Amino acid sequence: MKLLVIEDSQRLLRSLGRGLKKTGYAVDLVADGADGLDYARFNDYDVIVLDLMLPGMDGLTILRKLRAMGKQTHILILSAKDQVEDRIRGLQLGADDYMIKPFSFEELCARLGTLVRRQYKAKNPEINLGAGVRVNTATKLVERNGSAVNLTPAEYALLECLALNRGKVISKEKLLQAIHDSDSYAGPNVVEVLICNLRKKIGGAGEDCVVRTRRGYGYVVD
Amino acid sequence: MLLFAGAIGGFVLHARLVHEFDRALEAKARALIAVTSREGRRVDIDFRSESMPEFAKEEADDIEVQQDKEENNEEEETGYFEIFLQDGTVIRRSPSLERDDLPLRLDSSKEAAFRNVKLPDGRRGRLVQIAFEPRVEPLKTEVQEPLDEDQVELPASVDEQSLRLLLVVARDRERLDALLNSVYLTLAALTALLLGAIGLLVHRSIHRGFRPIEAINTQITRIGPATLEARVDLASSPTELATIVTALNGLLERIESGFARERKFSSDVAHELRTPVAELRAACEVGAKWPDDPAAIQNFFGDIREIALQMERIVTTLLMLTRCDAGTATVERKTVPLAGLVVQCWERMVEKAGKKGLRFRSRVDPAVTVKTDRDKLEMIVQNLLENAVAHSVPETLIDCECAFVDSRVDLTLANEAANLTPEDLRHVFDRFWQKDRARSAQDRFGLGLSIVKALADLLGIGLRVNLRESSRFEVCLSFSAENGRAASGLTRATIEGVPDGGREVARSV
Repeated sequence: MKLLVIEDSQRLLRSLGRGLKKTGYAVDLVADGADGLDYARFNDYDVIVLDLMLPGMDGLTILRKLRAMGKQTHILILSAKDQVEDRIRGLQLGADDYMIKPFSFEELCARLGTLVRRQYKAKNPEINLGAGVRVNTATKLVERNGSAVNLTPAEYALLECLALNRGKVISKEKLLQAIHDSDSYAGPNVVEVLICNLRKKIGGAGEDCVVRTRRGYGYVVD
Repeated sequence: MLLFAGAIGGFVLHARLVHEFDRALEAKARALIAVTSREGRRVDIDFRSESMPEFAKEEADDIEVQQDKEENNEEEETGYFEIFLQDGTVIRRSPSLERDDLPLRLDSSKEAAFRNVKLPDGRRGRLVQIAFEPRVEPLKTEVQEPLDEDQVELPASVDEQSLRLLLVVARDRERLDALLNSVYLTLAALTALLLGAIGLLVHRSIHRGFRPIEAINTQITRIGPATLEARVDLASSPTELATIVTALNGLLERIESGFARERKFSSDVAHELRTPVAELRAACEVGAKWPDDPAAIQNFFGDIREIALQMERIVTTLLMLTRCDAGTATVERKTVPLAGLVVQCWERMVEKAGKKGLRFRSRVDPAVTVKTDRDKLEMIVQNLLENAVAHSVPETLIDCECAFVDSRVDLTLANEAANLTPEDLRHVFDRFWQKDRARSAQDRFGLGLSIVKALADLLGIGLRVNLRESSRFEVCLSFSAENGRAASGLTRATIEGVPDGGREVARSV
């Protein structure tokens, strides 16, 4: 899952970037409003975390422009503005959620998880992939036959992306976008390595494997 | 007052009634005097019970007549009279007295003298005593006729030529007392009624009079922190209260303005602290959740220290502002050389200014001194220089010069400020005001010029801002000897000893 965080505080960007990446998201971090709008326009994100008071362009203008150009990306406003009018204005302009600074990192993750699930119309955070494999998108835990499977953030992000798009073939490029930020130079072979590791950890091979390869197209979870 | 008036009324009525009673008593006495005459040595008292029945003896068997009188409320008052010689010898008494006597004072005054007495039948009565000389009748015959029942022979010791008799007439005063009592009772009842009526009227009048005040009170009671924009309705208030209502509305306006300022200040403080607190919390939570990366943790600690220092600066500045506002900041005046102070402050800014390619020129004569609080003036100059460095267009000049205008010394600091408008000049001293609405500068909070203004006010230094040629921002500190209560005056010797224009000191970075 890929996030864009537009926030002018460098210190907050550092903390959020590290925390969200550790949680399993691919995160793009931008400190300027105008740059943030460009990132949002030319990339596909699952959720955009948007501050309101930004240099270059304020958050509400970014929001208005994105909605005007038809971008349906879920947007969570993260602002120090705590007045009800500010919240109402943000939500009326098309934001999907509003959080006031200071905030709990856990709560931010929970809200982001909700917006991601809403993106894929999956209300139940627990997804049963068959063969005894279950993915919980709220707790970011994977179980196989009742036992926890220890996945790296990148492996989990890959599995979650496939699980939320169950039945759809996802290309290597799309998977790469979901697990790495836009400035990453990683190539498609990284996806192959991660899929290989994932199959080893959640088990199954050949016809019994949860993650199947559609040769020439990508990967799919049936 | 009413009670006093009632008492006076009662007294006057009492006197009047007693006077009338006395006049009636005196009239009876005069009637008796009129029927008393002397013929030789005989005194003839032509008294007839029929004409003066009150002096007649009460007949015990006349009960029916008495009852009739009582039923018809025609009770006849009982009267008594007694006529004495000057030595107190009784010569005639009314039949009603039988054998009793009326009290006598041996006083030969012809004036009627009244007093209260106890009557022979034990009742209270009123008495009049008059001395008189009986009318002299000529002797009808030479031959002495036998005395009839109305005639009295004078004793031999009494000289008939100088005869003076003492008449005492008394009557009971029960009806007078009853009348007086009823008058008193009526007066008391009237007074009580009037008092009650007045009390009721006063209560109603006061209640009615206080109604506008109660209405104002109700309006004021409804005003709370959330409804400070409300005002007391002047149109519905009586003219007498217009001044108070106007004063109250003025007070409410000042309170509302104060509240608005405090609310904005609190909101600004809260907002200014939200971002560093959010940074602090995020760094702590993320660092605690993934403590496995020492380099990242080290960065977080660095961030946390920076945040702590930033918050410390905010708190210190706010405390200083509060002390200046409350007038509790101490001022220690001493002679301060301006040029040295400016250079010292600039030296702290050299590194930052160097990064922006800024140059600095000071044209302050080293001989110029002002008498003020050195530390606080240093804070003022330091803040102005920090502000100039932070907002100057890169590769431009920051200019500091000193000029003499009348009896003042003006220290002016000028820099090139992009995007500043004349409208902004009205807000530059507002707390937490920043031209950059994103407030992205993490080391500035919009308090620099606020603290400059607060300190300048405290020290009595004049402060002006100007925008010249659309982008040249000037701040002028004006030191004057006649600068109010907290004047930071120049020493006269210093003013006189400084040549015009000062000496140019150029520094560049």
